[in-house]
Amino acid sequence: MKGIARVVWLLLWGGGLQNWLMVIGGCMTLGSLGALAAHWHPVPQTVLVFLGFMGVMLTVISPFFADAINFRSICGPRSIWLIPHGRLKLAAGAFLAQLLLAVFIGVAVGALLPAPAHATGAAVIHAMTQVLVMAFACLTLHFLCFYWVNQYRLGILVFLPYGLLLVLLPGFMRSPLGALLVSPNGLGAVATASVLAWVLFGVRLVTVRHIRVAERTDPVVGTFSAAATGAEVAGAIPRYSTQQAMTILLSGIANPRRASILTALASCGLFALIMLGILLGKPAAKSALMWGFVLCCFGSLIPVAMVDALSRRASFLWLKPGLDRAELFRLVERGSWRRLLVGNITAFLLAGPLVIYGTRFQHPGMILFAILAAPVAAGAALLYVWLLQVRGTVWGGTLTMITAGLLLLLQILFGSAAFVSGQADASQLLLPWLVGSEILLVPVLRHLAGRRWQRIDWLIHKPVRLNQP
Amino acid sequence: MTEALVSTRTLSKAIGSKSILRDITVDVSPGSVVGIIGKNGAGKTTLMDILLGFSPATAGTAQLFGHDSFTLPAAIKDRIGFVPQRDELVNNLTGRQHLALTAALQKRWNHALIERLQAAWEVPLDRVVFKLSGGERQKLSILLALGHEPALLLLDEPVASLDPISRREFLREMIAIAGDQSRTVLFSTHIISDLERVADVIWILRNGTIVWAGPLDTLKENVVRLSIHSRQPLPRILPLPTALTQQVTAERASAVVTQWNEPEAQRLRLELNADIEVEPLSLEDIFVEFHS
Repeated sequence: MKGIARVVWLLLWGGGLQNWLMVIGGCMTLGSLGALAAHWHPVPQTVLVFLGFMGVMLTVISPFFADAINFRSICGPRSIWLIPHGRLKLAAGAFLAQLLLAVFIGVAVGALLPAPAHATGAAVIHAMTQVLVMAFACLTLHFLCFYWVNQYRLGILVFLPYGLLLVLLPGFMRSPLGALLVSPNGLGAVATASVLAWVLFGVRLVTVRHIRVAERTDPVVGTFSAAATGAEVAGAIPRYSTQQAMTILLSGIANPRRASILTALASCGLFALIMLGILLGKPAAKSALMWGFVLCCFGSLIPVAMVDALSRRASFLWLKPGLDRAELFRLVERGSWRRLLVGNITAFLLAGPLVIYGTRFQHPGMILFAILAAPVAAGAALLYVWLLQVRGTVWGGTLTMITAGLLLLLQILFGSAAFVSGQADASQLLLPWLVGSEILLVPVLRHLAGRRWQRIDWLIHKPVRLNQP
Repeated sequence: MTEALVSTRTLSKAIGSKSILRDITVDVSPGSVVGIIGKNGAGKTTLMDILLGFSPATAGTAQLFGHDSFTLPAAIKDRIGFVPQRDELVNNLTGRQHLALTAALQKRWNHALIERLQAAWEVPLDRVVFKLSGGERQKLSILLALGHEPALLLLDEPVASLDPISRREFLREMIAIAGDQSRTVLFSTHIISDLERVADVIWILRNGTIVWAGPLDTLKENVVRLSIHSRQPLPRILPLPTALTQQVTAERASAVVTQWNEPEAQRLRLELNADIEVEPLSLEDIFVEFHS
């Protein structure tokens, strides 16, 4: 049992960003549920529900994407084969971890969904059960699919149908087949199929002799020609300018241009599908704007998450002539700003249809401010918070990140509330103040980060390498 | 007097409450080949990280070419080559691309030397790095460190992943480098026979402190095993202030001492009324005795 519990713990509490997201997400979910249960509405109820859903998403997103990859890495070592029932314990741990996630989603989403008037306790429990079973089925499908495809370089494309699923799911659930699925018999069948899938997966895992683990640690994009085929890349000695060489060594990406194009194309595809799904769901103008705002926030936050990797890899350039700590700081800063702006502008352009759809409801100036200025300001502040994390204690760093994260969530909350209410209420008035403070904070944070970089300690802030030969 | 290329004064490093290095004071003169040995976790890699400016010292100073190592200027970095314990290669690049990248960042690059070494060590340059074996990656890292012909070469366990033939070739290359009196090499290893072959100065690290820093020959002359045969019962603790270990059984004893010389031998013979046989130790034995 101890082994199984350890696997569950490892998959749900993987460390670093995952734990941070889980804590924030958990707090948001519990806070929203608590406020809803106590009928305490400091912001409109819709926003509280939205906040709750965001919390659930933040809690689940990291295990959702990382569990299958981590699980394959754990199964890989040959020593696991030698442990009595080692693989069986691993499979049981993975099953329990996904079940716990499904229970969390079921309970939280079931409680957040607006219950019909005079709904009984049994009806609420039925709603929770429906969500739980469907969530478990989805998690199972995702885990097993991703476990198999993450070995392959193009396996990342498995995410593309998700956008399509988002588009088709509402229509499917309204169809007779969808209605059948959420009936008691249908739910039983779905649950049985999920458990059966785990049993089959477990049997396969226990009996297979050797599990191959992907050996790459760098991003998959930008490496197709050499790596996908395993072919030898013979030929003339390539020539790089100093700038190119620094960019490649800093990012760890062999072909940054191709990587940018592929990332942009993949992001465009995914964003377009998500927005198509939102628009096909015929949202009200105000919720369209809210979704546009959230998309833009993520468009600037995701690139900022790469700052940490860049600052760790900066150690590879330290011994190269001509680069002192201040110049390395500026190099990483420039690279991060470039990513932030590209990410934000891309998200803004992609959110265009939602923004145009929403202009009937809000003043265009307010929309531009909230959708363009707010995410950039938040992204810039967070960028320098990341750059600050090069020294200091674990607790200090964690506290800074949690504070920054909470402020950011507050901004998303007020931004969303401003769009939902559409009136000059507290949320609309507070948003400019929040953005203004972030803009004022940026030079201060930059100064502090620059000073910290003068004493950066790469013994502590060392690059993470997962698989060394 | 020749200026020391590497110099530390009461250098200490702690991370949180954990002390990693304590009061390290050493000098390296030009043309030396310094071998650093110590158990895992003794602080070898941390010492190199501080010397190269990757990490600040908690107390004391570390200097390379007379400059504070934490703020090395470009002109000094140009004269340093480094092979880390864990290579810093980009998995998706080929060996040839790595060489081109590093050459692009250095002011000068000896293509002929690299081609010769690449051919001798059979480093596959046209394969992406994640398809290379551990030894091949290590060889490539060494090539990257040698290309700009550094005056000071720091190698953190450079031969750990190499096969015996490549190791021998690498050591031969190191001897050639060391033969050129303008070059200085500092390297850590667990393969002590290699140290005996190439190093002229040895640093022994134990729990973050240097317990020996000096020429290899002096180390071997000074650290010896004594077999003592007395004509009277020996005291339970022998009067050997520099003893690392000692075992006494009635009229016989054996001990390993660190500061052995003829006056000390005379003193001990008279004091114990004993015959003393001196047995020289191999470097490996000395290392073990220092850690016993």
